[in-house]
Amino acid sequence: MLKLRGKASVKNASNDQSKLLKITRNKHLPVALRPKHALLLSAHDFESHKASSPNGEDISSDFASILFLGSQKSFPETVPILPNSRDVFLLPEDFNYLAEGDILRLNPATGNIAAVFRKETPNNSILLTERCNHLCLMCSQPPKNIDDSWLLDEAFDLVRLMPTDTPNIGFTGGEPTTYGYRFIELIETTKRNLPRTSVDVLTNGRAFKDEQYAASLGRIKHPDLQLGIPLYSDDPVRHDFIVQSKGAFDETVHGILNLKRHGIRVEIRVVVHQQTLPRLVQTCEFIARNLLFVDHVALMGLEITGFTRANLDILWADPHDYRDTLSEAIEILRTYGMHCSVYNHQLCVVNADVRDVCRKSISDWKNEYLPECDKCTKRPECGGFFSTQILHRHSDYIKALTS
Amino acid sequence: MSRFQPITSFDQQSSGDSAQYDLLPLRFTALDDSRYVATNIAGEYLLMARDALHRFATGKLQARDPQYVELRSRHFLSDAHSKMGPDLLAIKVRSRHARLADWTGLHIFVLTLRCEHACPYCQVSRQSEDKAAFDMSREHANKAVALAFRSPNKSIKIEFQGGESFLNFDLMKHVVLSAEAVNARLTEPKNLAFVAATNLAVVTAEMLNFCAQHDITISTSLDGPVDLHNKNRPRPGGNSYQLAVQGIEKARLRLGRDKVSALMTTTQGSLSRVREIIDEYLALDFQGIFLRPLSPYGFAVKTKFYRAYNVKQWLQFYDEGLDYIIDLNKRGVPFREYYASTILAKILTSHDPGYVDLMSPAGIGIGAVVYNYDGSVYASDEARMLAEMGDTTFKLGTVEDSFEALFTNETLLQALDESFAYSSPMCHDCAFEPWCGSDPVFHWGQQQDMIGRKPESEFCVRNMHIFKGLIRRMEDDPFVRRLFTRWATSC
Amino acid sequence: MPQPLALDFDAEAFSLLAIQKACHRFSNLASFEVRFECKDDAASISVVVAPLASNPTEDLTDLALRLRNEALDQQLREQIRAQTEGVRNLILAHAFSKSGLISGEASSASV
Repeated sequence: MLKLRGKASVKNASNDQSKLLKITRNKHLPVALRPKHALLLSAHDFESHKASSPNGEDISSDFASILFLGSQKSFPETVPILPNSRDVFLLPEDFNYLAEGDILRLNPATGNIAAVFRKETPNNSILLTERCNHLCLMCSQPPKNIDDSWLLDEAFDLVRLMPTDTPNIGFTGGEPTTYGYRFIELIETTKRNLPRTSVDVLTNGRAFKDEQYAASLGRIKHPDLQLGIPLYSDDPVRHDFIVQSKGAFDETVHGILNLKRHGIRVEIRVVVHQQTLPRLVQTCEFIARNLLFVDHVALMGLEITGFTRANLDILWADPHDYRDTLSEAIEILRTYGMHCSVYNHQLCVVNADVRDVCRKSISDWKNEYLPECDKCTKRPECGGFFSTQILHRHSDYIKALTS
Repeated sequence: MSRFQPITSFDQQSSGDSAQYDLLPLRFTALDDSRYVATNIAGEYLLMARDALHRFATGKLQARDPQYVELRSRHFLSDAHSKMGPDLLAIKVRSRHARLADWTGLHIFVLTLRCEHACPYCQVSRQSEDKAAFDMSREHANKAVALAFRSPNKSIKIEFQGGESFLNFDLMKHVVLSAEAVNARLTEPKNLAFVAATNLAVVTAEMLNFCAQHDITISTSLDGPVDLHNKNRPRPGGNSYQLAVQGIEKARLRLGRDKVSALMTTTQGSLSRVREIIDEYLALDFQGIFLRPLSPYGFAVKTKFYRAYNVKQWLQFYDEGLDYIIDLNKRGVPFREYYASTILAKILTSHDPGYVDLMSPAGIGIGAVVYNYDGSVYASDEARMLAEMGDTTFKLGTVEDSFEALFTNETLLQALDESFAYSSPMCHDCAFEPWCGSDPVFHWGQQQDMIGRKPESEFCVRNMHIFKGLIRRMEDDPFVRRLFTRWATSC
Repeated sequence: MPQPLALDFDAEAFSLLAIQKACHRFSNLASFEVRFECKDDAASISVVVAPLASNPTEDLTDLALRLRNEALDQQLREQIRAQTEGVRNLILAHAFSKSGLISGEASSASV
């Protein structure tokens, strides 16, 4: 699992606040561009420098920051680290994945770093807030009641920095609509600055019960926007219980209707666990009879992180045990002509009839495998595991498929 | 975790006494001695035991009753936990009725009454060479095409009938070409489709070429195995079956496998042979069969074919056929029954399959319209047949009349209005009304009353029996439920 | 031909319409005469069930039992209709208003 956030030791720290910088390895980058870039150097680069310019004179001081990749051992304290350069970060080895075009948030005062955009990843996820009006039993991003609107400010900056050929970004939280109309502005800004980038937003959809709010999102006419909205049961009591908020079901359904009225794509997400399983089939029937016009339905496996770990005893269900229920649920959605997918399930623990809708979500901090998987003929198509599943809980029935 | 509330704190209903809830509109009809079918305003159903229904409808249902959660999710009741029921029901009701705005999609052109067959049950045909007397004229055809394109429906299907439609192939070509030309000139061209009803006995390679070029699908007759088919459908040479089978083969080769469909007509002789008839369809590679009853019109009445069997006998025939088809599916043969599929679409989806004979408001005029060989315009095929028997009640006018005059015809409007099932006695209370239709022409023909007295109506007996039978089969067998859902959603 | 049967329904518990509808349902099996009667402060609805010439062998005793059950059902239907009339009108008004959700009617497209 990739480490996206960390701490580094900083030499020649400036007084700059937390800043977003694009990474380059090109020390001959045109001068005009350097103030917005961080130059990434490996220990090897440093070694070869030492030979030719012991005091690092040929590394320009125009860069906003210099990043050294490598362990502490490579940087003995005694070496003068580029006395003319400011904000020199000595990155721990975990960050060896950083590459040209990535975007980092750097805080010279604290040494905190975070990789907020990675060029090689097909799906970049941008956290907008950790505030949320729900408290889902299986929340993977437990809410915090703090003012983190700086994340939103940064998002505005980020979409203006990201390369325009970025295929996709996701806005997540917490609950992104916590920001009200500023969220709408963000989508508008994203459309203007990344017109060819598809956008996924994860939201509980409740704010859209206000039709004006839905209309304002619709007016943007974003060319490729989808809202992923959880609906955990056809039974309002059960849904409200799972999200721990009374009245959630009605407002979410109302929000979905308004969003569709204004031409916005909606995906309904159902996390499959002990609390949703008793009515999973009925929930899919409900979706097929009442919400046939939504664009996609995703049935998701549990991520063993956040609140899921604390509530594991009331959430965990082995996919092998519920495979027939899953098949029945998917069959209903498919028979009614709905686009549907299964995420985060390994191919060996679902029935063959749903394998073709099992999606391999390609995010490089998620696809891990067990030793048993080495002999599996279906491994290339299988999404494998979250590292949290490998660490904490996965099906007891993982077995290589050999046909 | 203490910060998480248990499910009980989200349930505001008390666990003991009656729950607090409001009824949403519902109707109920007995399924059998112990169970009722309840339907909500969107035509979705739920089964309930009789006493449970009475308790529920009088406000005495308890929240811990296993059906309580179902009744709420399926919009038979609303309570403090969710008020979205009425909105969702409104959307479903709207979907069901969306077709009303797109009226008259089916336009039937009777190109000729001439036919070389002499089927005793036939409604209308004439064994005659007299083209002048029995063929539609070009002038009439042109006017009919113009009228057809006045329909608000974005999809127009032109169906050629007769007699034997291919006996007037010249006019068929003319209608196809002029319809395509008219359509091409529209600012918003319609989806135009053509069907030719034919016994295939007189079809030639040239005719099939034309059909292939203009995407005309073929609807032919296949009553069953050779002896049954030939007995039902005599022609000089006694070879109707052979020509039909050869014709199907040729048509498929030229047009494509899914461009040829077949219809059967049930006669006295068919009643005990439904499996053989189905096997015949299987052997000839059809994907399904439409098991339909005999209409009480035309020669059928004259030759007492219609009264040769009653609705009970036909229902036995139907049930045996449907059960056989279900069994075939269980054995891995994907074959379907089209009448059931049409009804199941109404039961299990909010999508109206547009089957003219099972619509309320009735499908007359607004579902289909018939342009007869002599230029007269009828509200339905049955209306035309009734006219052949001397009763022109449902004649809308002629192709010389304006579109407005035809479709605001007093009798048509009156028939649509009065026969509207929701307002009819018995239908008004019936749980199955959302799935049923009204057939004013049938009831007029049988009882001289467009609404018909439903206790005596064979239309009612037949449909009720089928609705109950489909539900019983679905409830008793999950395989059938899944099979029927597939039929319903691909109708 | 069996003798006509007489039945009484408590007019406090049943509406005249409910009884009429129940009788109508079986009108192909027998003939029904329905009358509203008021005796000694007790109002009742009397029904006389007589055989039809076209159906002389109908078991009227059994039919009377079925009629009682049907009357209960009809009364219940009336009650349901009365209670749900308001929301029914609301749903239908909403269904046939201008709100667009079905394909082709969305007020704005996303592209």
